[in-house]
Amino acid sequence: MGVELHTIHSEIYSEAAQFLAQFPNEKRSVGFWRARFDLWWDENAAFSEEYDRGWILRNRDHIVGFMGNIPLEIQFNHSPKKVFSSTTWRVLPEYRKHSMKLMFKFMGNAEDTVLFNTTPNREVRAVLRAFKFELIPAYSRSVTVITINSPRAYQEKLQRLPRFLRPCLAPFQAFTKVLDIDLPRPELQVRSIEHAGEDFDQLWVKTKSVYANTNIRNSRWINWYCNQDNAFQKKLYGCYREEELAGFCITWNPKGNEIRCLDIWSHPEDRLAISALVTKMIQEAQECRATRLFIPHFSRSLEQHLIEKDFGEIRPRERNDFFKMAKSLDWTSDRDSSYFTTAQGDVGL
Amino acid sequence: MTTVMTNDEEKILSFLITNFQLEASQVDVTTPLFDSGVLDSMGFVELVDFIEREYSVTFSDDELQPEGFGSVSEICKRIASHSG
Repeated sequence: MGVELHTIHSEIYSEAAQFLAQFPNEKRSVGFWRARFDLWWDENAAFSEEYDRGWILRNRDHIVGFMGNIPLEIQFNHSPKKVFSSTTWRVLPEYRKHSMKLMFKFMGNAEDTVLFNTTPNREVRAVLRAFKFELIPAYSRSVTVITINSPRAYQEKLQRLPRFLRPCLAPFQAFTKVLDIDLPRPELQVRSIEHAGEDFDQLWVKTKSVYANTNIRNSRWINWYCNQDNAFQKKLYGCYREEELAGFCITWNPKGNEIRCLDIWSHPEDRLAISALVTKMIQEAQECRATRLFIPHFSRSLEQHLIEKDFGEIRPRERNDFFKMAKSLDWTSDRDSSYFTTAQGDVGL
Repeated sequence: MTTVMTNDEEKILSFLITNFQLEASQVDVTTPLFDSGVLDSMGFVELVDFIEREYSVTFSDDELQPEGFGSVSEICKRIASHSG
């Protein structure tokens, strides 16, 4: 009996979590992976039993390969559409010649929908290119990087240098300082949110027609995306104009010292909301002593605000987010009809 | 019985044997490339790239499936359908 492909069912969660936790170079625990399965499928409102959770390769009694398939719902041409993101493609080295079986299965979803892969490594990128995946349309390819804590950033750089060089360069740390910028005093109030309520649904209903293609940002999605276990340390902030929600943003801190803005949403012309949310992200980064804060230029108004305020260095954004649209879908994307942030595919899931 | 190979089949077989260090006895035009473990993911990438450049074709994703891309003979049928 050779290597066989099977669909993932909940009965094999423990075995699959064990496989992923013991995969070469993997540091995350069985519990981490087990929690991912609940999140990707059982707690995911976009999932139903008609969709495959993913696939495994099995050789006799052992799992030797894995690929997850996360159903997601986006707004596509102004209507909700079920799409799929592949995640966690792992095949033991001695079985790599069977790895394409998993990818072919994922590509079987491609007929009439959109496929995402937003966390590929170099090899997976090559495979995605062969299948004609493209980068997700983005307003801009730039990111503003705000160095919050220069002494700590300097210290981290020093640690990456050869040991003999460190004592020579260490004294220069005295010339670095913690960011002390004059933040604009926000006219709107921004606060941390534990659970998105009805006001988030109301904001979504009011603003969803602005873009034809974007994430569905109702409270159900936000709560699912943000309020998971602490594995990715995501935070949700709501921006209020006289107690009415005007916008929100989601940040995460995957490395523990660098905060990244995953998503920011308001009416695009509501510059006060954008300004208040950006200010809040900077304040939070300062308070938690982060080294840097990354805010990608997701929209024209966000980009204009970041350039105007000159908070930090503008760099080209490292893009790793791929998608593939079925030919049967009638879709043209331009900078103004689509709004895709970092919260696509399996980023932060 | 000796199978007569087309030029395209010969060219692709020769690419596989040379690039993936296979013995000529390990692969023929009907060998399942993915089920028999001839190609891993990077092998797949190299093969698609080679054929698309060599024949100036672009495969769609429904062609890049084991049913249509699973053996040298099937690949050659795909190539012929592009030039036909």
